[in-house]
Amino acid sequence: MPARSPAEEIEARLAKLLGPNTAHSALRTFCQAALGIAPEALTAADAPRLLAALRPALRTLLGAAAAEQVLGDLARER
Amino acid sequence: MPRDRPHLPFQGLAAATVLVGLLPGAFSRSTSDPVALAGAYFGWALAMYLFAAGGSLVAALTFERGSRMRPGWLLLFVSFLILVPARLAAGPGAAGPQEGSARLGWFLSLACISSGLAVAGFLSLARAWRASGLDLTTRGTRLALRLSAVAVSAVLLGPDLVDRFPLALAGDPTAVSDVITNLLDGALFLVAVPVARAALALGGGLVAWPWVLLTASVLAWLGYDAALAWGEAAGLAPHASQRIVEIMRALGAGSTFAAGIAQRWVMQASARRS
Repeated sequence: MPARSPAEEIEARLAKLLGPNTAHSALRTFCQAALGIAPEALTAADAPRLLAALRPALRTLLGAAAAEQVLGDLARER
Repeated sequence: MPRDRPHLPFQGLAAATVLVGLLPGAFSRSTSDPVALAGAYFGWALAMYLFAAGGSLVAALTFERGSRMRPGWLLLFVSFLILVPARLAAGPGAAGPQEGSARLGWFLSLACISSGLAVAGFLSLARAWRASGLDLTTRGTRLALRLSAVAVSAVLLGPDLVDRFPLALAGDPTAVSDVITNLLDGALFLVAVPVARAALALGGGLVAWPWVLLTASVLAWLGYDAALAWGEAAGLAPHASQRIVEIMRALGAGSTFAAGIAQRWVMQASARRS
């Protein structure tokens, strides 16, 4: 099985929390807004900036502690 | 929380909420004494308001100070807590306090304040959802949903509003309260639309659960208003209409309790996952 791209890994993790549709849309929106690229072009080096862009949304829905845990897990999986 | 089936506890919570909401139906079948039944409805309504307040407080306190969703949950907590003295002032029975009684003013004031706080709570939660940046619905969809909410509110609340408005203008305090409550109920359905949008958008994710249960709560209050406005007009006997009102009240308050608990569980599960 081919290795998943960074975007696919982040999307799969987010989908468990935000649902597949919002995870997919959020990844596309925040990749474009924070990095000016499509998710397919995301590299491991870009991931920290994407995760930083996702931080306010996750803090709103999950609170600071849980959001930081989720972001920390995502960063470690990179 | 089982890692392989993370939605299972939430599904159990939702199922338990439905069962608890249906209990007033069991009360009505277990006794033919109207006084005993009124007492059972009265006690159950008080319990459900306390549960709803407790669930909302649990959610509010799970968020840190300064979190965007904390004020909304706190407002819902106070909104339901206020309904306890309001219900005590109303006393058992469907008719409520007698015209001119000392308790009537308290009941009307507290009911209006509670409705206002519920609207503010849902508005605050809806603004938090919008502020998350994850609400990617188009303007057209948002407008269509708002118009639908206005239409449903008008159908459910319009007739009573038209009926009570002249009396309110004449200074009847009960009619004034009815008009204010109808307007606030209509506003609640409108401000709850983004909450329903959040529930739909987040579908399949754990974060959806509090939003789904809050939406269920609003739908139950919609049913409550529908039963009050149209129950007897639809040919239901007064006791059957009252039974539906009590079921909808229990489902509305119970869903708010469950939403608060679900909010805490989601945050705890997210903090634990690795």
